[in-house]
Amino acid sequence: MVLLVLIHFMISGYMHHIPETRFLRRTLPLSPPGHLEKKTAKMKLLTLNFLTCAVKTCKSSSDSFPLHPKDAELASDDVEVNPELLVNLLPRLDWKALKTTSAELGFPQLPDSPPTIEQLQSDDKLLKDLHSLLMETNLMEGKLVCGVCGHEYAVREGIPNFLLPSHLV
Amino acid sequence: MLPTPSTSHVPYTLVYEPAEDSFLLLDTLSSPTSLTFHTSHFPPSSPTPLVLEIGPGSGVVLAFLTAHANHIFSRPDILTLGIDINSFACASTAKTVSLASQDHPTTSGEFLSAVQGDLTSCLRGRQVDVLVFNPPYVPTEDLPALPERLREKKEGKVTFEEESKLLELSYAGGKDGMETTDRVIDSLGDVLSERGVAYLLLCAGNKPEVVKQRIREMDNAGEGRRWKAETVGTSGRQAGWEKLQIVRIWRE
Repeated sequence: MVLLVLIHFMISGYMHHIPETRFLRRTLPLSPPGHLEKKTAKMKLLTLNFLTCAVKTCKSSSDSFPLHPKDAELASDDVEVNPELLVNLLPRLDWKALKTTSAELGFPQLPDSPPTIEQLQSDDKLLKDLHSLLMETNLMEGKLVCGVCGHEYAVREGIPNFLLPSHLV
Repeated sequence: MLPTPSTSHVPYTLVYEPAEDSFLLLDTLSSPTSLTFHTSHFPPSSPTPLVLEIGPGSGVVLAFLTAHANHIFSRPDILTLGIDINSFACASTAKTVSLASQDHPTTSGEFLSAVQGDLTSCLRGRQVDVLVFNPPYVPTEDLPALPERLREKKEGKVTFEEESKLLELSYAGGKDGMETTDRVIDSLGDVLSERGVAYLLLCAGNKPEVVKQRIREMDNAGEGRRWKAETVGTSGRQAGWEKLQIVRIWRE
């Protein structure tokens, strides 16, 4: 019972916490080859559509996906819009998870179901929103929180760390 | 021959330096027969393939696959992802891939990120279309563990002992050099998509014929399908200990 209350507290604790998101544009100047500088790594937001909690027992629950960004610091790249790429990418995405991630980070609300090719080609705003979200947005710092166990995976300098402390392995 | 990505920025005291095994992967993955296989497996208008490399180290193989996507998969719209237990390898991979992509903008796929993790434990099931693994394959007495301090953060100077542990992790494979590789083989059914294909590097000490037979006999291929495991690239002395090979694994 105590455990249940604890779990409930951990989940509701972050659910009610609105992530403080800072949106930085173009903060990553390219460095010349030969220098391993800090902050060259970036985590494309799209990565979240493929990641889940690393704790074995969480995987069977649908709440372990997607992970919830917390205290996220984002950075944006300038990438040329490529409608063909989006058309091939959409069928393989978990749209519901993408919609959740997008809303949690304060992006414009996505429609309930993925757009068709025709809709993408005729709706310029939707195309640009999706392009910006999927192709241009990177997570640089913050945490990724599991909706089941509440474990927080740190993202530092664009690299998420999914190694578990030994008691959770 | 497609150019090899530059890794001159990689700190080789902390991260495995590209060697014969890495180059065998480059040559095998970009061979004409691989191109034919990829083109029929992932036709241009099918959903964007996700390419995962486990243990990318310097990132030379993942950068090669990303930057030359159009030559290797006959389509530039692929997503690539690296997962390495070593945070220095993650930083190196991100840099190597980003430099190579900038050098080849017209043929390059999209790099997602370099994730620090334990093999495929952080992945959602059945998403990977192409899995590449150059494992720690050298038979050793023990399987090394990542020093506790390097699991969490990398502040402070890395000690000499930690450096040698990181490099040991990149090659030491435990019994038959297969302890880590076996974990990946056992997870293939859960990790690969229906159309998924894996490229696995083995050395002679891994008993490759036994490994391939074990894969073919796995029972989780799905209704009416079987696991296939075929050698698609080799290098090194014919009768020697060092002989390396790449095995392609898929369901048919």
